[in-house]
Amino acid sequence: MEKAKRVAIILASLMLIGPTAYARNYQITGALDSRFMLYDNQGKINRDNFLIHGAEVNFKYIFQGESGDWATLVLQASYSPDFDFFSREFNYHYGDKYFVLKGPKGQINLKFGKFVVPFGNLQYYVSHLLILQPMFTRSLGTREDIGVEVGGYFKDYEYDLSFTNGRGDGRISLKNEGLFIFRIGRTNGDLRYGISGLIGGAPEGEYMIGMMMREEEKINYVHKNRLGFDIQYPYREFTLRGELIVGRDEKVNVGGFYLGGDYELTPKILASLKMNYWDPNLKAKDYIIDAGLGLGYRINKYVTPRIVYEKSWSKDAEGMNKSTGLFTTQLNLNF
Amino acid sequence: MKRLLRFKKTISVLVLALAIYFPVSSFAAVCVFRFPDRDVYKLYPKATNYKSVLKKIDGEAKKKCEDLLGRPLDSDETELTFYEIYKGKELIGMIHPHAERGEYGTIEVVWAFTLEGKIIDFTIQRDREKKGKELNAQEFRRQFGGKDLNSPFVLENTKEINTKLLKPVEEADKGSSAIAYGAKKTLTFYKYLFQEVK
Repeated sequence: MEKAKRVAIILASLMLIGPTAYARNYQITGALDSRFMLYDNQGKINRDNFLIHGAEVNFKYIFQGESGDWATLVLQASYSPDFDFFSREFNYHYGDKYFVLKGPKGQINLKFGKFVVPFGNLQYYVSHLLILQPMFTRSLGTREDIGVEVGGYFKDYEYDLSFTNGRGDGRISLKNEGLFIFRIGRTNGDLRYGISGLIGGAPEGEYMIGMMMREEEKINYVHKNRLGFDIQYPYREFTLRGELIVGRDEKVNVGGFYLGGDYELTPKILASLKMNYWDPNLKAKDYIIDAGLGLGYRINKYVTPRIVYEKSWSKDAEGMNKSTGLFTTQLNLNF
Repeated sequence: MKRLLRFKKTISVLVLALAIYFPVSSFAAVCVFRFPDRDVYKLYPKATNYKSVLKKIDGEAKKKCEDLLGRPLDSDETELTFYEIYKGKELIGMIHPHAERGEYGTIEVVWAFTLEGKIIDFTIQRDREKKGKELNAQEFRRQFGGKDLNSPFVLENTKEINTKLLKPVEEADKGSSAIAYGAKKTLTFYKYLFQEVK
């Protein structure tokens, strides 16, 4: 079936499902993210410049007893005609499928399935809606993974411990050594911050610049250690986010930081800015810098167009410099 | 090239259809309860659990709400989540998160109230106001305690705080008004989606 027809069918289904669904202890939502992407000096525009980043239908069911909720099931059916279902790009953002068993007073909750791993700000980024991506593709190489997690709250403190397979592409492999992640965080008024750690096998970070490109990728897995500090602070029209990460990949020390934020120009217009610096080998001269600036206009709850320009500069271990620019327009539909 | 044009055409038609199908909203008020596992127990220290209840605002409820508020609901206020608060198997109260526009963006307020619709307390889960701390301080919050829909939180048919009933936070009239109107709206929703439905 043609790309346009497939997308039209998904959209039409969402239009029917979204507004008419009546729910008491379940909820159905949906989204469609379409983009036009143009690289600097690309030349002729072709069909590949138009991208359906993903279409999704989200189903959430809450299991309830006489004394309240005791579990939640979240299933996300997602599809993109432009990404392989088991590609890393697709699995950074899509395919949540998990079950949460609630413990007493929110203090110990058990989650299992495919979910966003609890490192840094990851749990708080709705990443598939962002065209300015944070640093996880460089620094961790994974975002969603299959496994188990224990997490909860003690007053203003929150904790999460997860053990996942480490593939990060929506599949499980018994050959992988597994990935252990923890985060301890605190909320103090509007300020939220935390410390995270990661040990185990995870996909190698992307060194070459090449965002959202279709590729037959073979993922390399490396043993990683990471220690991170994350922060988020909303202040007047600003929301500031930051991450500082240091670690080790096999025998190489790595590190970097991410600074990003949003500025509400008007109630409907949001400007976004990001900058990350990632050093894949602290002893070598190599680095990757990504910077971007974007604007979004919220027409209504359902339709948000955005434009972004991103620039990346990198230097490899041999001292070769490279830079890439990318202009993106995005149309995001939510139901 | 033909395929490309056809694809663009399809997307354009769909976008146009959506823009017509869904009205342009003013400022969305539907609010997500960001940290129920944390904030439920702050507002109800004796609670042991909560039950999420999703309610759809049908045409009849919408009309009743708008009549009582004297203002139209926001276009995205079609389905709302309430939280029934339990101590063991005993239902001891309600929570509803609600967002209103302040001076520097949305103020997300989590309201705790009794089954009879009297406010117990609230907590601000997110705001960007200059006087955010003061708006969330006990001095401002406690004025709402015990009040119900018989209390004129705002001036009639407006979103403006009724200063005869509530003392706004200094230099935060807009934020104070947003919270006062949010109180009225939350209790209005509760009245027509719970109390009058039973």
